[in-house]
Amino acid sequence: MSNPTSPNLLGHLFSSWTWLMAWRDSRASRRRLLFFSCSIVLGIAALTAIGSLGVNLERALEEQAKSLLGADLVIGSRHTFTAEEEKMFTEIGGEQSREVSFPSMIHFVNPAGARLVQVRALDGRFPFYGALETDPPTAAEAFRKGGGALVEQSLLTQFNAKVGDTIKLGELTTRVAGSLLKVPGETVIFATIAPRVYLPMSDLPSTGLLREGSLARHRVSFKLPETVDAQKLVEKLKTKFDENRLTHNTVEDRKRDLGRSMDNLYSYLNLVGFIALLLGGVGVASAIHVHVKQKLGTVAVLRCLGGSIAQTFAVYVAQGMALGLFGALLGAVLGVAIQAALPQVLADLIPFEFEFRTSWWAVARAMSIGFFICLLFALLPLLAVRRVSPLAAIRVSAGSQTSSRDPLTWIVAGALAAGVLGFALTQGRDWRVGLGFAGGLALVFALLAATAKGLIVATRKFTPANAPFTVRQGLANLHRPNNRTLLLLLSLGLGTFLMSSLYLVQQTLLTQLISSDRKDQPNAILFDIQPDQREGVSNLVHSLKLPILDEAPIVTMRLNSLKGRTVESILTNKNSGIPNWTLRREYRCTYSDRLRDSEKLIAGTWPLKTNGTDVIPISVEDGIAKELQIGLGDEVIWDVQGVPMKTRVVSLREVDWRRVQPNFFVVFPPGALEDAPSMHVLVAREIQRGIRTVAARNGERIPQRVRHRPDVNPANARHHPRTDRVRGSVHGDVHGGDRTAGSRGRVGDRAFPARAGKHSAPNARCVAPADFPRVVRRVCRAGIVVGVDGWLAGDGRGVGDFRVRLQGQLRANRAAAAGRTRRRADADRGHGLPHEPRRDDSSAAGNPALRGVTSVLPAARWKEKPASRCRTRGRCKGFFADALMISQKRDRRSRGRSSPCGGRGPSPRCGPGRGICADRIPSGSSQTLFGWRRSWPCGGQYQY
Amino acid sequence: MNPSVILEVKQLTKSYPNGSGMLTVVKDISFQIESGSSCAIVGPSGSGKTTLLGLCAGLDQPTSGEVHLAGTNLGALGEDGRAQVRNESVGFVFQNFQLIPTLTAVENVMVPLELRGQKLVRDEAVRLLERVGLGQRLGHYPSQLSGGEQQRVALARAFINRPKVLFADEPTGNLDAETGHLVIENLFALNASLGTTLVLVTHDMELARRTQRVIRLKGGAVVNGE
Ligand SMILES: Nc1ncnc2c1ncn2[C@@H]1O[C@H](COP(=O)(O)OP(=O)(O)O)[C@@H](O)[C@H]1O
Ligand SMILES: [Mg+2]
Repeated sequence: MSNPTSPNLLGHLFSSWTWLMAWRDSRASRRRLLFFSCSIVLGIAALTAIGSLGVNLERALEEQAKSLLGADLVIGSRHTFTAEEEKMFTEIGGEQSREVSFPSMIHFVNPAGARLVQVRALDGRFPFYGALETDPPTAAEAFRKGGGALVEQSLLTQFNAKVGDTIKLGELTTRVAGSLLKVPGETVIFATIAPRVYLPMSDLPSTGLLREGSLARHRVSFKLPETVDAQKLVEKLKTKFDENRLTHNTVEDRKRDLGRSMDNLYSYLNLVGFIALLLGGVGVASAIHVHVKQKLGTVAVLRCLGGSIAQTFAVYVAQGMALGLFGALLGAVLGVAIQAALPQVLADLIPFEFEFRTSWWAVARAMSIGFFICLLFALLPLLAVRRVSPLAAIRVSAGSQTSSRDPLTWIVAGALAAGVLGFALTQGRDWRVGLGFAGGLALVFALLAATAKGLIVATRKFTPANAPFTVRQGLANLHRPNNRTLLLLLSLGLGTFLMSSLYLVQQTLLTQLISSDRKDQPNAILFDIQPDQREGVSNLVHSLKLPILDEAPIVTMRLNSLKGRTVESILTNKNSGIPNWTLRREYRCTYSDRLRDSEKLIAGTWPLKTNGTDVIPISVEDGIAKELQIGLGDEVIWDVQGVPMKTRVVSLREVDWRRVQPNFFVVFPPGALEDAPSMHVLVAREIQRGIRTVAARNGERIPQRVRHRPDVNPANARHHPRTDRVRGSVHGDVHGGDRTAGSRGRVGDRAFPARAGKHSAPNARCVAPADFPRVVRRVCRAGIVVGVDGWLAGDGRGVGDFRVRLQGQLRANRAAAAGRTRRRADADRGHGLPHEPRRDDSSAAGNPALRGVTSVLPAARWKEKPASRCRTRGRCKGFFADALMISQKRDRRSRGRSSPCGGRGPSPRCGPGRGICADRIPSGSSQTLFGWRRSWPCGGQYQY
Repeated sequence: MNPSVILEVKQLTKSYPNGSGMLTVVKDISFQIESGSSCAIVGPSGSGKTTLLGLCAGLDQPTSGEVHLAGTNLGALGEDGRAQVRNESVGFVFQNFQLIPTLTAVENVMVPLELRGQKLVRDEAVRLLERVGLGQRLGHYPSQLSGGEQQRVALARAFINRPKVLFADEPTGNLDAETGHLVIENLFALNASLGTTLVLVTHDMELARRTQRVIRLKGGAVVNGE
């Protein structure tokens, strides 16, 4: 039998009658349908705006790539460039511009104020591409000719200072030449943590801030001739760069990094949009469900009058499509409007200008995603139309077949699932995340469906017959035929789930970045407190009525050997699989018998107990243990500032590094390290008045010092009365945790200032960001570090004691071993240190920690050894950490505690030994908002 | 088969599963209706009249037995095939009118032809509506029409596709006597002028007597095939 009408759905969708009928049929429900189509509008608007933003950003990135770096090639170092390096620079050619940067205190004279800033001394025409934006605009050029300093605008606002005011940087008194608005390729966010101050290079010497050994960052920027390809040049020189520990950055690198950050931001926002869309979809499904229920009679009549299944179905599919199309259109319009506003909203987050241009591609993409998601959601209830029996026209009770038996239901559900999965997979770079997202959604869906089914069965079975009428009727509605229990539970439950998970994601992202407003969370860390200062600092903190939340002693050490293999041998073996940073790094360990609340014991025993043998039990953080390929029972020998210490891993801990509190890779038992040179950190919470109070109060105690000692400056050395060697450094001890696949967001270490020596004068070092500009406050309340360099009492006794006792112990051990006279001579030579022992050697003999330590480096060797193992790797990871990482080199007198040196082997710059730093005080996190992690807009350029 | 037979029912049985056993609603019914004739199916409520009508019109499928409608064995057709037979050969008048509430009177009447894919059918619909006396109510929605008017619109819709058989299930069941009478007059007038076979389900014996033949049902079985 031939049918004049087309037989399939698609055919009917192209029939004008279908649309006419759909239009007529919608008469009574048009407004309601349009209203429900609005539920997808927000989702589509978000996708449109975000998609367009992505395209705009990408284009801007492409267009402005060069100005993102300001040069073709930037080479950086933590040391002043050597002659050999200078020669290389000359060979590279092109135009050069130099920059030396370090943190220091800026002092405003009137009104008075001081603040940690990042000083950048500039020579040459940097930036070659783009420009320093200043107010007045002429200041960008004027300051280079000795016209003063460019000071971050936020800083001027904060201190109520203006252009022309006098400022002091170290010994230099100069004036504000202009306020700094923008540096190409850097975001405002970055600047709020460490406001930037530009000086002409010619003024640098007169600040007196940079002396031999000071750790500063040196940069040389190149504008290469057109013919030179920066990327190829870098490839050619890569080994040379690596040998000399030079960092290098090209426009391509920068573009890639920024692109990656943008990807993350983009993916996150896109996910938000998509979730909104899915929620809208659930709303549409729910609305269509009701709509279809009302239309069953009409459908039955149409079938009775001879309409085919496809024909009647097409009428309602047409309605669904119209609804989706309307929603998509409205969403696109709204999205385009929103997107026009985005550049302003994001201006502070994105390190380059970008202009708004509607990307029609993005609009089309969002619309089609929205349309199809909406249609699929609408189809689920619409499929019921196909199952309506014409018999229903003559007999109301004629039921339709249940949806779960309709194979098409499963096909549509499958398509929906595939759509969600497809979208999730294309968002992140990691398919597992996408899979997790889709899987989680499916799981919730299944759970909700099961709950609904359970509810239906339960109410049917267990409604008490003698319950009041309303209760019985109410409950019966849950299970009687045509109930909407499943649908309502699904839409409400899924909606709640999506909203709360979005909220959770946001919270997670924020808490990763931010310390917290919660009462028990620290927001102030005082570091570099010497053992004999502890009481004083505690009292001070108490007197300020700040709760002390945590306290930890810190002893620095390096790895000597793992499971019997020396670090050197492991390092030479390229296939060891152990990342170099874990071997070379300076471990800042503590000793304790209690677990912090950020720690969880996952294997082994706790608390650690020294058991009288020569091997000290230690607890190692799980992640680093995996990196080092050590486990329970493995032996690790540490080089505790020149003294070997044999330990055994007896416990593994999991550590939540995101907490703003001291956390440690390695914990020793009490009783092992007490005599080692140490410093303390103290974690407090400033309740109301802001960190500034601490800073200010400390400031009150130290005005003389500030005035009389230009070197009261975290970047600077402290001039030690007894030696000429003065070193100060700022040290960004950031290890490359994120290069390790699967590792938790390793937070950039915060290196703590090592004391230069003990001074009798009280001296507090404070780092206190005061008024954060709005942007930052909006995004985060930053975890702040307040450093107190405290009451330095100048005799270095602690160091001496420990070392003397160690030496004594070693000697005793060696004496016991026959035929070791040569070694003994070495040891003796090593003894010739500035600190003469004041205690009797025998006092150390009872130290169980040292007993039996025989595999010892000849003491003399520590003069050179540590230097060659010094580590300077570090990149811009911990965002806050970077801004505030401060450390100091040791002066010669206490060289046993040494400094974070340039890591370039024995050299005048690099004294023996290493700095004393807290191990990874998390900064709030490097795993920052939107996952901008490795590539926070500072692009890895700012490392200290 | 006699070509003049438009509807033939052979040993038709319909049962529904009923708790443990089966409830047989239509029991082994056989009859033939000749083209152009009229026939009433009468019986008390619950005797299976509507069920039988549904089976004859191909709205439902029998448990056993055959229905031949306009020369087609309905049992051999699928859902869409039967729909097409209905569209081409069958008209319906329901007890509760079953107009589509979102369509005006004239649009309701047009539907059967439009479902065929025919266009420009409005004139025909208007003519039919005029014949049932609703020429002034073309643009009214069912909710704006009285029961009798609605049923007359339904009549116009039932006849617009020139059906071979018109099935009417208690067309006056929901109407008062006077209105019902008017509807019946319209029904018979249209039937006569178009030569349609009429299968009328009713429990109104008066009405049944106006048809050429009466089939009495009781408990699902034919009591007398007159
Ligand atoms: N889907 C069904 N399931 C079970 N019984 C049904 C079903 N449809 C109809 N019946 C029963 O069939 C019998 C005949 O119904 P019906 O044909 O409507 O009778 P009438 O139209 O003569 O009043 C009634 O008793 C009715 O309860
Ligand atoms: Mg009936």
